[in-house]
Amino acid sequence: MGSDKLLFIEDLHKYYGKHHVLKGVNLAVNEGESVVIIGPSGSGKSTLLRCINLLVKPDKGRIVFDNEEITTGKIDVRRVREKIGFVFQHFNLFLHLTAIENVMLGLIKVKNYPREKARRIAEEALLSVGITEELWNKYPAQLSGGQQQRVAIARAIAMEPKLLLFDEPTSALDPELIGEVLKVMEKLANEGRTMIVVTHEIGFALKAADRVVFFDDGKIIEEGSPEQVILNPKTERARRFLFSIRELYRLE
Amino acid sequence: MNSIEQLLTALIIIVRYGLSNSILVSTLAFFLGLILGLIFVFIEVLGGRLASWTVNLLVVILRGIPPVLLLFIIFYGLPSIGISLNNVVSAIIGLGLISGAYQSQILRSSIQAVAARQMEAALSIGLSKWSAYTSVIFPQALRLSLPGLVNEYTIILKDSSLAYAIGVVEAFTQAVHIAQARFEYFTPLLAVALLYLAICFSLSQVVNYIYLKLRVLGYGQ
Amino acid sequence: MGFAEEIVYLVSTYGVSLFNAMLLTLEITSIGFTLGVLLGLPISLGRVYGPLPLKALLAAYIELIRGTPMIVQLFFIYYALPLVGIKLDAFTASIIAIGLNSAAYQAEYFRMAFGAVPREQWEAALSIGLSKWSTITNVIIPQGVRIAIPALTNELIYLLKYSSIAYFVTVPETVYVSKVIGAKTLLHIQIYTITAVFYILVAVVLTKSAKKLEERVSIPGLVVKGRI
Repeated sequence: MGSDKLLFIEDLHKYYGKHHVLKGVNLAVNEGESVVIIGPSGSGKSTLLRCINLLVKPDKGRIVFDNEEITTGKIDVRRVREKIGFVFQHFNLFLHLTAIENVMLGLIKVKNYPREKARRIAEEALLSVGITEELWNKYPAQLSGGQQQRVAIARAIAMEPKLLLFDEPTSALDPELIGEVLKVMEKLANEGRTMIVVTHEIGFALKAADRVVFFDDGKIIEEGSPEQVILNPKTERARRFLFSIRELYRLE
Repeated sequence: MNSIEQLLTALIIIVRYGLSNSILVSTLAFFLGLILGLIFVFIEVLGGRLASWTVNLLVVILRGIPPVLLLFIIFYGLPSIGISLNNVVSAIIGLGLISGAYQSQILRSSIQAVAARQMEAALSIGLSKWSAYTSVIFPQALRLSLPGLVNEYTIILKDSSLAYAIGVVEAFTQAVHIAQARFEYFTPLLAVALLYLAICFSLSQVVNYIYLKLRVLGYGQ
Repeated sequence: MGFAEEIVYLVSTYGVSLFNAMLLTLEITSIGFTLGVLLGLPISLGRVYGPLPLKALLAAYIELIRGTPMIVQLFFIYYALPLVGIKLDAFTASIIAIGLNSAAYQAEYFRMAFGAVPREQWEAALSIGLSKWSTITNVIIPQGVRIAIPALTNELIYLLKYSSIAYFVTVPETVYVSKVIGAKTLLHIQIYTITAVFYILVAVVLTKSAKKLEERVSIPGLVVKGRI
């Protein structure tokens, strides 16, 4: 295991009752790499992301993150989560807090920063995702979906995580709002942040991913460079899935 | 007599000479409340503005007045304007009036819930507003109200103990009488508490069962 | 004397004692309600997030309180507790009975309100590294309390009415004093009209103020389907 490997997943399994959701996932992610996971819905991609930041407890296998095994019982879950940012499909902003308070909460309560420092960092994070001052004191419901998701990204990056996880960050957005969120994510990838993105946006994958993983039925079926996996998939299953996605895009 | 025997004899006395009055008062008050609740809600939904304003005022009054006070008004106050009622009838009317206000609210909220989903459909097939209410909304709303109404019965049952204030010999009064005779409050109060608990618990099981049935019928939330 | 004159007579003769009785009613109500919040909130937290034995214990407490009339609880505290050496005066017994009773109901209202906070809020809070306790205090309670306001208002009005059970242990609150005045003057319906108006007015004012409070602390988008 090289020291440039930030995340190392070995033979990961997860069951929901009798339902075998993850069937032996092996994945390694280097520092600074951005990995896009594509695949049909219900294939376990979301569960995989939730296992990485321990929102879901895997049943078998190992996850090593930042040179530390996090799948043993002894680990401090909160310290791991603090180092991993998570962006949800439905944004999941705190409904009772304004945009800036959403970003500040973790800084104050987890990092124990004084309010002033937290505010400065939050402002910076919000500006970096294009949320300008007039929106800072709005509540989530007063923002568009695209704005909410960008605030959610700011909330994640303000914590200075070593790894960012995106769980279908644009699936819940109206088509005209997808672009603004993807642009922010591209910028993050170009800054050299380590990120894993579950998405159907193959355009984003081609532009911003260092590696694409095709995931189906609880396993990684194929992985490689974006061009190779998206434009020239080797397996029949990946070919069929990508064909249907490309059809959809052409129609739009 | 050991304490178990004391508890058992207290239970027997309360069941034999008090509980029937509790049940009588609660049940008649409940049905009086149901009739009033239905009338209130009919007027609110289908009546004119003045009529529903009056009903609203009545509901506010009945929801704001302490039950004991209403029992005093009926039992001690009404005779001065020539209406003398015995204490059991006073209790039934007092608790029934208050329950009418609450039952109208239970009924109204389920009518609104059903109407929100079904009114347009009913009107779109050409029903009049009246027949939309009577043949589509009300029958479903009544079913939807069942858990709330059973729960309301347990509330009346507990409130029927307040009829002690006007000397109705119901379960609680009987327990107090035993206590006063024995100079010991613990066992008679425990006995009557166990009785209320048993009835309320059984009825809450009924409520759960109805919820389950309603969910099967597609009314779950 | 006509009805109106009799009312005026009662108010001018017994105004002071009525006023004091009404103050006592408000006192019993507010202390009982406050006790109910102070006990109900931790009970609901223990019932939802506590270890299993605590959950069972608190659930049993709630069932016990909700399954018996408040007056039985009051008589227990006032008449049966002296048996084990706990002697309370009538006023203290009343506010304790009302507070303990309300705690069980309020715990249920809080529990339902916390349950109405979407599960995703938990996930989001945990994902930035908040602890369970920190999530409860910073996310679940601020949202849940707002959701609970209408139910808590109903509870407060309920307590206003049921503070009159203190009458049964001879606390000189509104119902007790009006009963005495009624017996003395035989103007039953007149004195009870005065007290009824008092209760109803306070209930209306409380309802209106609670609506105002609800609006003032309301947050756009934080609405719950179906009131609890």
